[in-house]
Amino acid sequence: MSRFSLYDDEAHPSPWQHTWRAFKSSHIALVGLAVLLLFVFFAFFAPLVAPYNPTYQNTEALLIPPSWAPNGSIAHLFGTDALGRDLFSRIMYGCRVTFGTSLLVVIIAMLVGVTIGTIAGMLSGVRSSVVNHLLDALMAIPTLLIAIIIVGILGSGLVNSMWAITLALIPQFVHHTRSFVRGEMKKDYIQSSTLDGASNLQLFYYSILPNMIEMLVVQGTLALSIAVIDISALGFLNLGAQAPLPELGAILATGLDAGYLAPWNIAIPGVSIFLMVLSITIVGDGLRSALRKRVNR
Amino acid sequence: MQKWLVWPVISTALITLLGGCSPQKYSANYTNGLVYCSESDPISMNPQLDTSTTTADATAHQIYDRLLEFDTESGRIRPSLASSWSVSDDGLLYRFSLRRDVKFHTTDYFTPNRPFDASDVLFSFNRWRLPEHSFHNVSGGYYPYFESLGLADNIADIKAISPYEVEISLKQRDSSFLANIASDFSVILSAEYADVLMSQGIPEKIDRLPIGTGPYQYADYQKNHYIRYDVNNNYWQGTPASKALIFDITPKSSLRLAKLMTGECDAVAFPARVDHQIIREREDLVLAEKPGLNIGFWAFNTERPPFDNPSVRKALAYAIDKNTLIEAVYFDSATRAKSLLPAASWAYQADAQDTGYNPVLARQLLDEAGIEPGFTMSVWAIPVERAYNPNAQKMAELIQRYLADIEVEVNIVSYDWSTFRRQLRQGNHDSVLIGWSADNGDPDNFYRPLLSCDAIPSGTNRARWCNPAYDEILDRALQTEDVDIRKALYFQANELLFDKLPMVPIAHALRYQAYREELNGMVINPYGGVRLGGVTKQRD
Amino acid sequence: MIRILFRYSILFSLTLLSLSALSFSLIYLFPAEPVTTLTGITPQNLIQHEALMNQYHLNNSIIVQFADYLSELFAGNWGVSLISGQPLSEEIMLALPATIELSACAMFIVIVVGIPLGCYSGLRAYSATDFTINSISVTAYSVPVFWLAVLFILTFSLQFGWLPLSGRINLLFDIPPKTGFLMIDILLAENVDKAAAFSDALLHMILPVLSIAFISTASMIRITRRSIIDVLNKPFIIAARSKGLSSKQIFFRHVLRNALLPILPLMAMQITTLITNAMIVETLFSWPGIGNWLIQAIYQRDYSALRMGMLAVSTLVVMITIAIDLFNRLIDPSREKYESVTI
Repeated sequence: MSRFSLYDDEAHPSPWQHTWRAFKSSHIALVGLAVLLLFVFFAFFAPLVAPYNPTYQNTEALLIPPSWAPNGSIAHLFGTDALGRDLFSRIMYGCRVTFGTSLLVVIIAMLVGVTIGTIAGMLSGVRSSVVNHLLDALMAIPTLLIAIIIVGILGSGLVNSMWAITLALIPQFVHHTRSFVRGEMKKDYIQSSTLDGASNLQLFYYSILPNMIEMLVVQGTLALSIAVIDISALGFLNLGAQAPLPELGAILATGLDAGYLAPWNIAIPGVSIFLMVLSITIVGDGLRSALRKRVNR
Repeated sequence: MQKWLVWPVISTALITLLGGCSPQKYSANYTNGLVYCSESDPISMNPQLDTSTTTADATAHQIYDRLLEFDTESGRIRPSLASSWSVSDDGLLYRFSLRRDVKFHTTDYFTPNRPFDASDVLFSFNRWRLPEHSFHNVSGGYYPYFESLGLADNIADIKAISPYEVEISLKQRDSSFLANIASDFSVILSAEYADVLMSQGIPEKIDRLPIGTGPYQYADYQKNHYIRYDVNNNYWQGTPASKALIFDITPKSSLRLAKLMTGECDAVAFPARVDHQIIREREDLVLAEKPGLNIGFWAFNTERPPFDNPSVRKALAYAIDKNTLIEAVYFDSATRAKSLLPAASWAYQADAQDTGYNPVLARQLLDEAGIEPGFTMSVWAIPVERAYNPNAQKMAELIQRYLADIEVEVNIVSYDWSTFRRQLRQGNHDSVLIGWSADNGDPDNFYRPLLSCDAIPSGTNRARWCNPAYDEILDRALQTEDVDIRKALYFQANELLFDKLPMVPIAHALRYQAYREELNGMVINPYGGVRLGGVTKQRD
Repeated sequence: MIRILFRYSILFSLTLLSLSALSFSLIYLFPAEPVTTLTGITPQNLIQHEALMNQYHLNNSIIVQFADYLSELFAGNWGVSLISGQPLSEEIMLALPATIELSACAMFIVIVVGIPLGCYSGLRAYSATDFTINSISVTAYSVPVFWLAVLFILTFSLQFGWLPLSGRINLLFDIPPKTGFLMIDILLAENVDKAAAFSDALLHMILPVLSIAFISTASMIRITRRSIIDVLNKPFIIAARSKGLSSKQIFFRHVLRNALLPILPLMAMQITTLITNAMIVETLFSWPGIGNWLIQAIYQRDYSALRMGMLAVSTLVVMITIAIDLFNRLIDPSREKYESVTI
């Protein structure tokens, strides 16, 4: 078939272009995206842009207020902590640790969850029902409890807390994938592929997966915000990242010790976690409503 | 546009409503009682079983009394349950006359039928002294304070001459004996209560549901939450004014300070150094300070290679800058420690040798000892604030940085306090940041529990270092009352310690007590645990 | 109906069985002697060790051990805490009610504030009010709970001095814990000024409850709002409107019911989040609940307590989840089990 066609004159934006158009029509979503990109930038390039080593202790400069305070110093933008470490650098590296590990956790959970969910969705009968029941049990156990048990078995540390959060996130991916796959399996286009003789694997790869990506992106942003909050909560409780690893929750927890003398040690890490989660949520919301608008059209 | 106004208006209204609900400040003056915010759970309700300040704070001066007492002002020994005492000329025979009509606590689990007498003294001493005593092995059979001082071995006999007279004979002269009798751990238990428990087959209750003669009596204990005491209405020194005493167990120092500020605590244990300035600035809070007889140190587990090698230990000592540690951790509320004793002690050696900051020498010593770059060791940091080390975690992080400079990697290890001490006693550490607060003013109270061979099984010798020559010096120092001879011997011990360096002395710190200004009679006990018996709260 | 109940009771017992199997496996997973994790007793010598092994059948096969474990669980013999030596059943029965009390109050606020605001916002979708409510809820949803609790303490306890921050009640009130539920215990207590104790307990509750409710309310608003919008777009609403029903009638007869049904399963998920948040907040407010207890247990490496605490908390949460699910199924049998709304 020749590529020459009259219809090509009219632009046919791909579904993703549609979504992007709908997305950027919301200013808030754009601002959220910008902030999120900033965090992504920190996550990847913290070593290049951070003014100090996050573990460098300048004992001459303990608890210096942030630069905008009356006796602050421009040398330390966000001031220093009780060990004389530059808070700005620590926050940058903290974003790297917290955001980076969250992203990793979500990707692993997504891969595992989608695999199990697809199998469960395509199978039916007893096996599926057993999977359902087990999932119910798993989904009900609070993340913190899973984390506590894993810390009990393996000891505390960032990697162990990542395991816990991955375990806690998997069921949600399984759940959504399963209902999605189930829904799709009933649709005509799958039936026609089945009649064409497509195997289950082919069905999944060529027919279901392309349609599922949007759902996964939306679920992924949701999971990402949960992962960030959980990683920092575990760091805060001293069950996750251990000193001197800069992790936002752990930075907040150490800041609490000098909280009255140096309130910025509480405020700045807290605001960073808050902004990170907020931007993820806003981008997620924006994506979702953009997708909804596109589907409705 | 008006809809935009709705939310701010509602939220302002809500906030004012919330404020309107409680127009005056939250006040906690419901009942006449004292709330003391402590930092951790006591291990036991009997200080004989544990040397930690936490246990001593919660029990020693609240529930119990001793034969003798340290005066809170002068630090001298004065009579308590023993109304007077005498010592024979050879220093081997001590005779105590006991106070009459001292009543033990009457609680819902025990009602005493007789007042305190000599049999109670015999029971209390024999319990830790005699391994064959029926109560010796109840609750584990460890009496760390007495074992670390070798006190049990040195007592030849204890006799009741009359119901109100007790005679203790020693094998060897011990110039610190009276001071040990007055320490937090030499408490007097009730022999009658022990008999009742033994006949009921539940002897272990004696350390869980305690009976003593102190100003307060035990009422209730919820782990990690609180200890409740009722007033002892028959206290022999006069019934305390407060009807109840509560220990609110709050591990985080920032939360303890918060509770002190809101008035939910009347006094707090171990205010963090960073908060001192805040406490001083506030008119409703008082920060009392007193030079403390204590030492914070970094001990190496000398049983574990390569820390059994003195030059490795020296290398690590040269790698850290003590002055910086003191500045950053103690905020200049401490003096640099050269040997074990602080300047307030009469045996202090001003010209004692000390390790300086010299990372090059440190690396060189390590190379000579065959320690490769990249060697990894653990530094255990106590999880609680102590006068001798208000923030061991922070100190550990500083040390981590210093050791990174000589290419030694450090893992910082910290558990909950009770678990920490259990693991430490088992010797699972490479090195530990911990310290010691004197239980009495005698120099022996530093040298012997911290580094003598006997103190390894009792768990106070954190370096697990045993050197017969050192022990001999200490023994000789106790044989005489001559201060100059003793001084010379302790100087000799200092020299030996500098040579072998089982631990790095870091600092002698000031002691602090933060409390609300309504409290009267709050004084810092020069030795040992907090005393709340004479404290009253002014009510407005 | 009976079939459904039967199915759910089977589901419930299967889940419980798998949870107890999980807690049983912890005996071998935790880095401590299996005997110690199981009983909470550290054997002092070999003889005692052997005696305990025999008493708890740890020398037998795994199946026998597990059967024995289950029977001990049902008999209420849960072992003792490694650290305090107290029976775990006693400690858990004191801590669990405190958490339930806290979570129930928070859940109440979540429902009472979240659902009406969500409805209002959904009905006025894309208006300025909706926009405001929505932005506030997105913002609130993103606040980490531990930071929020710290901010509350700093503002309301320390800055203004209005509210206390330590525990459930001023400890000077001597309230003997009989049921574990403070409000009931106050009624049962003697020699206590009950009115003062009540108001003191309520004041202690405000900050922790608000910290927990804040975030869950935000989620609830978002869920309700989305559900309402979805229902409003359904054809039967247009049909009802064209019949000439007033918007009030439409809302209460058609919209509300159909919007709330899919919310229920999501509410079950909210409870999990809420309890996690409650556990974190408890540590900051010295609240003597199960979260605080578990976190202390992990700090103290109290393995026997962790094993039992895990079982107790997960059983509680699973029970609530299944109950909500069952309720949902009973009032609306036609609905697919997993059909629910998105946010």
